[in-house]
Amino acid sequence: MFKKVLVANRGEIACRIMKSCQQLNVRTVAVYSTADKDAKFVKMADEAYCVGPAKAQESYLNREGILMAAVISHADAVHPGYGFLAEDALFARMCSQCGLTWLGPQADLISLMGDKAAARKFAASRGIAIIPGTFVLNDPDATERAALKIGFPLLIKASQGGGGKGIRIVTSPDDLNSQLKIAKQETSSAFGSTSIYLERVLKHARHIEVQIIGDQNGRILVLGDRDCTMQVRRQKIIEESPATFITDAQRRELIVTVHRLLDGVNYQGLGTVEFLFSDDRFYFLEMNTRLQVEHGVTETTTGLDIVMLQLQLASNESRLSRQIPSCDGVAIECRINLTAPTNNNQLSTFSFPEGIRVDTGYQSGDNVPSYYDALLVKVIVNGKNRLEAVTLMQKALANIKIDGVSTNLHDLQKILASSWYKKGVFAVETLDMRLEKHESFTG
Amino acid sequence: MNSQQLEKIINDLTKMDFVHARLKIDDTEIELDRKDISMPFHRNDEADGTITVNSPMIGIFHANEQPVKIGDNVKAGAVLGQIESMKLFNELNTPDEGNVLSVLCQDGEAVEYDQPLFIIRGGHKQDV
Repeated sequence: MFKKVLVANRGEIACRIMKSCQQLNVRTVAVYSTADKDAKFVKMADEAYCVGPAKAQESYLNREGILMAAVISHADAVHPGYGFLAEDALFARMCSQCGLTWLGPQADLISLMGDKAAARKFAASRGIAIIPGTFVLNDPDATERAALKIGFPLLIKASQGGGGKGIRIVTSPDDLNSQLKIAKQETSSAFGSTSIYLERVLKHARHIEVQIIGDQNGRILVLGDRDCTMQVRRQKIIEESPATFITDAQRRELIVTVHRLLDGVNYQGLGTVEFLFSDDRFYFLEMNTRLQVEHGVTETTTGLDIVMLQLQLASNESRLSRQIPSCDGVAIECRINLTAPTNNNQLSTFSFPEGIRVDTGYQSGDNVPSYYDALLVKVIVNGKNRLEAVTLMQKALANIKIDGVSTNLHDLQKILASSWYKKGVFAVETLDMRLEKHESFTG
Repeated sequence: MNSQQLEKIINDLTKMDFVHARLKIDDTEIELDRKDISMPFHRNDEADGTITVNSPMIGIFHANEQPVKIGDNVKAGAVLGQIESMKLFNELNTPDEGNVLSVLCQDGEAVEYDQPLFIIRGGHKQDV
């Protein structure tokens, strides 16, 4: 086993990773910015190094600074968590060059899946259904022809985007050129590249994803599936495991598809293959080559600690089972986010009921820095079936007390109480459409 | 150019990220200097007239061949030592002239971002 793992992240996910390390008697190293000097994850670590100022670009994205902390602390592995440098192929390569084990797939697989257009091409080459659309387009005439063939509405997506970022919707042919111009400007400033591609908008689609892990020999095991359809502006807010919406036959199809995508590519570590499910078909959306925010629901239903499993596999201390873990009951996760960050986001009250899983990087009295993502806490419940899980989540949300900041807690309560959510009648666009029409979530 | 126009230009400029700017509009020339606030932690001016020089990065501190000692007088911009980060050596300069009051780091020691390394009694400030 590793002696010391450096966690190149902050907040709840840093705490989450350190917890698994502690259970394996692995020492932990935190790296932090000046804005996080009093944070829970810094106190939780055996050692902590300040690597830069509040601005993420100079701290959590400061590759040299983080590597220097690893060198100084004699860490032997780096866990990147999610976000920040988790899908940075250069950083993965730098870690290897410094003799550190990168707890994730190889750099070339990170690059391949990070380039969303290349990933689409790769999936198609393996015989997997992709959302109807194009590969990277450069020629304006070809773009227009392709757009007319796809039909409207369609999406312009940035190759370097992903995770709901770098997407523009075009509703009519008249808007195509103006939207293309804006999309290219946006992608060039956000991702330093202007490569874009087009995709059809799938109607009434569900977001279904598959959690996988690969051992050191690149053998893949499916750990379970999740339904992450509940999104606001393409950001997930409620996740469920398993996806109760799909049949056993469809689940088998999903597993076969994931193996067709990843068998023989030497994938190591955790990953998630995302699909849109529309008209009884799965379409490859993208793959995230890292631990995901919502991994906890899969852990709850399978009883696994997937970070621990990842550490054991990466250090060759454990062998991957050949059997897909059994899934017990239904787990639901709600993400409670800060909705209107100010300069002072002090959590005067921050308390949660017993008997639920609470993943957070904050505690009562903490001031939430406004430099980073808005996630305050993830709460997870587990019921015998979906309806029981919904009821348990309603009870949990009613007993959460957060004061001092504005959050989406009330919105979550309304969604959980609605009949359409309980019945499971929703698609990826449902929440946005309800917000647009100023409809409440209830009813 | 009238004072109103001038004020507007200066107001617009303050929103931009610059340390030094020179503008020439017709016959009017404006030169503006601003304290570099992009790295606010490298130098802390204390109320008692001392300056704390903090580490601009995480790394290993290397003292000079002739290490800076307590009591040394240093000129503005003088090299106090080097911070090594990923095999790159970065000079640590003093932001102002003065007298070294404390040396808070040792040769070969690992230092974090923002860690206080030297305390200097500013030359100018003492005269005032």
